Amino acid sequence: MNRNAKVKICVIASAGGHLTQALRIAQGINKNYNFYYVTYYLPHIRQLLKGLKHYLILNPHKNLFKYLVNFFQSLKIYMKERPNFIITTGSGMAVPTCLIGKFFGSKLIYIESGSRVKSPSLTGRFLYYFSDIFIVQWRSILRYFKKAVYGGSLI
Amino acid sequence: MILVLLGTASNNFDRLVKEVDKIAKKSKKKFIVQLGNSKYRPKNVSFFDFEKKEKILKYIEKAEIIISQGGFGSLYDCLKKGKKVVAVPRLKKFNEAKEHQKELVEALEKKGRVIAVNDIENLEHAIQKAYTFQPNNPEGHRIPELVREFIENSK
Repeated sequence: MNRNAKVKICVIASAGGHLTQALRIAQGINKNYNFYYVTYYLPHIRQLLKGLKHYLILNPHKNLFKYLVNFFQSLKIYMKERPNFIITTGSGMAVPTCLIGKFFGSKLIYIESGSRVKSPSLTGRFLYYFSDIFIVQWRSILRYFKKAVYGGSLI
Repeated sequence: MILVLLGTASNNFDRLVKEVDKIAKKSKKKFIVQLGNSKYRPKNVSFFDFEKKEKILKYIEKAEIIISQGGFGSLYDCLKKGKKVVAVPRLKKFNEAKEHQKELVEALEKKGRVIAVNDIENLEHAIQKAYTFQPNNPEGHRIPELVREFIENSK
C-alpha cells in the first residue's frame, strides 16, 4: 500500500462487552488512523459511539437468513470503505465482514475477548485461520493456537 | 453505600437479589441495586432496572463496596476504578447466564483482584471481608501496542 496514504481501519464487534473492548483497544492505539466502527443496535449504542463514524447492521443470532442479510450489509459497507485493516473482538456478527475483508485484501487483526479464560470462543476458533495476527488475553488460551500472541488482559 | 450490579444480561439473577435483600434488612448500610433483567423486587434496598452509563459510573465511584455479577463489562468498570469488588458469577446450571462467568471470576480471584462468591450463603461473609480487602493492581496489557506495531510493520 501507499506508505503516505492514511490507514483506514474497520473496528467491528458485537454490541456489549465485545464492543467495549474493541473501543478500548482502538482508543489506545493512539495513531492518526482513519477509524470507522460497525456493530448492531442496543439501547445506549448511539451514546457510546457519539462522534465516531459508525454503521449498524443486523445481529445474526445464529439464524441463517439473518446471516445473509448481515452479509449483504457488510459487503455494501466494505465496498464503500475498503479498509486496510479490520480489528475485531468477535463475535458472530463480525464474521461476514472479516471474510469479505480477507477476500478483498484487508488484513485481519483478531483479539479474543477477555471473558474467555480457559477456552476460546467459536468465532475465535474459526477466524484464527483467517487472522493475520491473533491476540489472546489469558495465557491458558495460547495452547489452542500455535501462532497466537499473548497480549495481557484488558481487565 | 454498597452498590450491586446485575449488568445487562437477559437472564434472571434473583438468587443474588434475594440474598442482598436479606442482608440489607439487617444492615445499617445503604444498598443501591441495579436489577437489570431480574424479576424479583427487593424490599430493603433502593433499586432500578437500568441507568445511563455515566450514572452507573458515578455510583461506582461513590460505592464503598461493589457486589457485581461476573460479567466482563461490569467487572471491568469496577476494577478500572480500583474498587473493592465481591464478584458473584452467574451460573449456567441455574440458567442465570448463557456464558460461563465462573472462569473469569476465578481467574481474577487468583490474581487477588476480587473476592469470589459461588455459594450465595457466603455473600454476607464476603461483604465483611471486603471492607479490609486490598485488591491487587492490574498486571497491565499491551494489546494496543501489539496492534499498532502490527499495522506499522504491515504498511
